[in-house]
Amino acid sequence: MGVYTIGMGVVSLIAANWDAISSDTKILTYFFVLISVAVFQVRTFSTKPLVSESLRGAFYLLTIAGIGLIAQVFHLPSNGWSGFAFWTALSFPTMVLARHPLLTGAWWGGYFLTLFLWANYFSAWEKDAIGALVAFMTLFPLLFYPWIGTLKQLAVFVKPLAPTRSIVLWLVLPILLDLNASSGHILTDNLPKSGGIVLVLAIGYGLLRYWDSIQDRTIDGKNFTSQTMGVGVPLLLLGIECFFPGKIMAHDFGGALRFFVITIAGSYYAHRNGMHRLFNSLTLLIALRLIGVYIQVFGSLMVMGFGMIISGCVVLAIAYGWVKFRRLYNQAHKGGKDDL
Amino acid sequence: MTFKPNLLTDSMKQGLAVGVGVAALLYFYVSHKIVVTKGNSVTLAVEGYDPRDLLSGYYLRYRIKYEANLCEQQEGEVCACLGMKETGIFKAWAKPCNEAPAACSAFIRGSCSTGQFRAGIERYYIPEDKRHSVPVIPEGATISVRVDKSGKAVTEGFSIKGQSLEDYLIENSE
Repeated sequence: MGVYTIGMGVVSLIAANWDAISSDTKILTYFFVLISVAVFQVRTFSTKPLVSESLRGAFYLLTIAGIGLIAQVFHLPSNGWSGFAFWTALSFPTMVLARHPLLTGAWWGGYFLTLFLWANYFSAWEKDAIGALVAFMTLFPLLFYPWIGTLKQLAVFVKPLAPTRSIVLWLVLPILLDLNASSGHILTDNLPKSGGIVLVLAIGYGLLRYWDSIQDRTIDGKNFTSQTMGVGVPLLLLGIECFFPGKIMAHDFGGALRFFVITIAGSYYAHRNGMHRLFNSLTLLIALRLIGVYIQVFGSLMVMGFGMIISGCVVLAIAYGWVKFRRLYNQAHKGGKDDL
Repeated sequence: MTFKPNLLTDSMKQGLAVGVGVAALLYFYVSHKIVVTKGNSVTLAVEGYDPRDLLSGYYLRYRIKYEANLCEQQEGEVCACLGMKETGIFKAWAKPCNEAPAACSAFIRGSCSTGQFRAGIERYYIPEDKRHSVPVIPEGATISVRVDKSGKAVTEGFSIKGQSLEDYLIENSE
């Protein structure tokens, strides 16, 4: 913290006199600082791990600062994504070897941000192919992290993917499909290739999982079922939605139904793997969506007064049932993982 | 007893990892510096965007007056051939890059997207405290660009009627 504060002070002083400093001086000073940080990060790696990781974080921030500085010296325009992509690429080797998940989490944040900016950069006629590539590059690390994570050297690097996968598969996906159904399928109408990629990945994922279970017996039958439910079901529903938008479960409650199927499948996955916090979060989501369904059904039909009384009773009943169920579940599964 | 070759120590791996980043940044800098040092000097007229100029952040964004629609029948990578006018300012016409651009005395490599030709020279950084001195791109503005043999262009300077932007800003600062 102290090192960062001093560093920020130095940066402020430089910024105050920025125009008075020549471009060559700026660049020379920058590379001197960058190389010094790199050298000390390597030298302290074995003896002072905390210092080494702090310097790795400084190196990570200095690389994006350097890209900005060089762009300024040569008046280079930015198209939004290329600077981030360059940053992500040149910091990848050192982040793979990082020992703190905060650093690797920051790198993955940059990676997904780059994908988002990239998808937004291209013109409409290119969007289809780019959408497929973005879907692939988002899902690839999320789906394959259990295998990559088994390599000891990469365990910290892929650790942030566990919560990211939970958020994407069991929060973003069900909400996306739900919204898509209620908005006339505008989100998926133009992305059939993305759907194709998603399906290919899902099938590949399932086959690899199956092969793994046969070869090594490392995955028991129950775990394989929970993987298929938790990961396969959301991807399958996404694939169906991309290939046949508005064709299957096209009625008003199709979105809600998909939402429930995915969140229940995710809850089953969390239950089988002893992930309490994830299980509680998903059951809360299910309860909230149930209230949403209730309001959807009765909102415009019931006489206002009766409707509100009955709605209140249902809200209380759902909340009571959810709290009761959660308490029973938590008592029965003490000692499980609390991993998202 | 098994023999496990350990070709790289931890320190060597760490050194290689940060070395790749430093080398990439150095290459990024040096490749542009070479163009600025050894490239041919070209002057191009610029104008603001219609209906108003866009001053975004601490840099000027402008449109280069190539005096021809370079993207009329082109999409993707395009080479802009440059020819000298009597005024000393260059005008340009489009040529696909796969058709030997050696026929042009000088050319800029860029790309056409949504009808616009861009070559990475459409921005000029200015000091933060002078940003209000140029609310619009002034009349008679030009940029000087260095271009290497492969068509890579880097902006070197910005002038208004022969006066450098830096001097113009000092004269017109509030």
